[in-house]
Amino acid sequence: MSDVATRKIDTVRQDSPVEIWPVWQRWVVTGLLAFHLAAILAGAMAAPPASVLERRIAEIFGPYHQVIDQGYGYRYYAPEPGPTPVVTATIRFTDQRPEATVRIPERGVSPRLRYQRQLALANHLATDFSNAKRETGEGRNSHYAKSYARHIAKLHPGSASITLYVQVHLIPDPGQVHDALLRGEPVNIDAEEYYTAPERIGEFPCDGL
Amino acid sequence: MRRIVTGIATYLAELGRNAVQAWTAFFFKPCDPTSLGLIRLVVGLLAFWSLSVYGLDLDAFFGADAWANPESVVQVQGFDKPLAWSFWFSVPQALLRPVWVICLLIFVLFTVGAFSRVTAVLAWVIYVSTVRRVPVSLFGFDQVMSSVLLYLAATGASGQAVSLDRFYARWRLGWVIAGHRRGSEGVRWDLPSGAPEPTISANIALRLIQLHLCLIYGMAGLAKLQGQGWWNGQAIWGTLASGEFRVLDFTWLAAFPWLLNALTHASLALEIGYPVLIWVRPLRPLLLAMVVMFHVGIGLTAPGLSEFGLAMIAGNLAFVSGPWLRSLVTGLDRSRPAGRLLFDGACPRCRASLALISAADPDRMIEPLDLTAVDLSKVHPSLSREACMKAMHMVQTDGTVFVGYDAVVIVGRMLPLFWPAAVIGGLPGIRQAGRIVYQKIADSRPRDVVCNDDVCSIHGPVSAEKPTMTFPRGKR
Repeated sequence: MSDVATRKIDTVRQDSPVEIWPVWQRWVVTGLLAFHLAAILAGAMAAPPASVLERRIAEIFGPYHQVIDQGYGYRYYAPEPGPTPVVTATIRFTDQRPEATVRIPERGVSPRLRYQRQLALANHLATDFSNAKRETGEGRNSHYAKSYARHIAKLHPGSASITLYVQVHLIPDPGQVHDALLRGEPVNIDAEEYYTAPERIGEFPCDGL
Repeated sequence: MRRIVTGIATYLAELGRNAVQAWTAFFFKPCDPTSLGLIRLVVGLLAFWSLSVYGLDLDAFFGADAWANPESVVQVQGFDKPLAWSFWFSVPQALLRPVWVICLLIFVLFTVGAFSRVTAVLAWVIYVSTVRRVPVSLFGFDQVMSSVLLYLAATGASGQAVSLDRFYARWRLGWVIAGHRRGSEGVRWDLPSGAPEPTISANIALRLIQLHLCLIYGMAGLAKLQGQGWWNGQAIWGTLASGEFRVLDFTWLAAFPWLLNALTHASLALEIGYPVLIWVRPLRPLLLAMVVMFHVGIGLTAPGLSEFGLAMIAGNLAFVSGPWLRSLVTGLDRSRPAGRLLFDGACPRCRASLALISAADPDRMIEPLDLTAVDLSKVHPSLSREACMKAMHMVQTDGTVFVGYDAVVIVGRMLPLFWPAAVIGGLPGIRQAGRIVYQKIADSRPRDVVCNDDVCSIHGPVSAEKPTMTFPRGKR
């Protein structure tokens, strides 16, 4: 919008006195704003990779971040868009029913936000599994793995055990896709070749959940 | 030596003074809250939508046997975030659905700007509680929502424009005018303009959202510099060809590597450039247009991120001028109203209708004229007193005259609050029925008793004066 247009609109109403805050109020709010902005910046800077100084400063604001749900790093698609973890659960039943498989995220689920939430479920479990492996040497110790297994068991009465797996849905190489397109071959990015081999998170007997 | 020290001291004092002045001008200058009201509207809808979608799997996300059951969440968060809180942990299984419904109702009230100071805080509490209860289902959308809701709640400014709170306050003032019998000069319709009063609290909220957006784009951009794909121009391929995110097939883009390069570099340049260039006023519209295209593009390639894009676009409204947003409805030329509405000033029901219309008027789009006190020929040569007494007349700036129910529909089309009603009211069938109902109401309308003696011609001290009701700041 042009400045002329803005002025034209603004000149229509100049009938009210301009609001002015007293000095003490401005100073109090200034203090709060400075603290908050410093906290937000410190939280963003502390996401890995971060220096010791950045992490220490962020720790000062840790309690504040926790109370107001801030301190995020905002590292979207960084360092670059990666492949997507997919979780599968194999359900064994106490009776003669055949094994069932649950995929997270479940294909075809709608609306898309619901699917996105399920993608996040798989992503968080994969991260937690990876952390558990690194910290305890045993991925089965993931806090969320047991909880996910219990949830799946409750959804499937009569289940004997739940075995969780994680695999990664890879991104095809653009060069290979280009070559395939030149050859006139269709590219199915959901083909098995674009998944890593499933890695077993653990088997969870339902009587122990 | 002394001159050097004095010079440094003078420089530092000057620097400090300038910094204080710049800070004060940046944060403590009153600002039009229209864009903040629109942000509240969009963010409220998104919060409602998000919680509604959770409602499809309420037990699976919030129940005792949820994907992440309360124990596991407390265990994980208790280690990382001992002060994290959520009321969802205290909600018994049997009450999950009722509490969910109440939360949705609060989001509705927040969205329409009802009891906005309270509902903004409650909306933030609900959102943060949800975030803390279901950390395993979160993504960037929730981070943006939580931040914007925090600023709307903390400043209490979200209901200062585009809200039912403001509409109701103006309606009450209109009722005071409507309640007064007309004087000999007709009804003086002295309701202030619908343009909201600039406030400091709105400015603080908008500034915080602006700064937070700069941080989000800036950090996202800078962090990408670590990735090889963002340098060699192939990173965007990772979003287009992700088998889990996509709905449409974009693999054909592999045949156009230069296009992938351009999209990658443009995305990165936008994110890194945004925190600086958005403050350059001539570039701002361009940046905002690019941001919209950027998020629409993400939404197309990964539809699950549409809500994230909408939340970011809503946040970017903080950089859009309130008067300009209002002009999208009212038009740029505010030197004269878009229409003149002739009403019967002796009719209490007509005055009450005017109170409603004026309360919804964004900025004096409609000029109410008491037909008993104006020279109708000066308003429009085709108008006659007899016809105007039968039904309301609306005279538009181009000279078009609408009568009765048609005038009501036209008025509805001019006022955003009544747009849905105007659309429905203009449908075939409903329009014909509306005309009949309108005329019946108009024909049976009561009128003030005609004053024929000296006693009733003496007006009370209040009725002849301008109404003295005052608006609290920000509600005017």
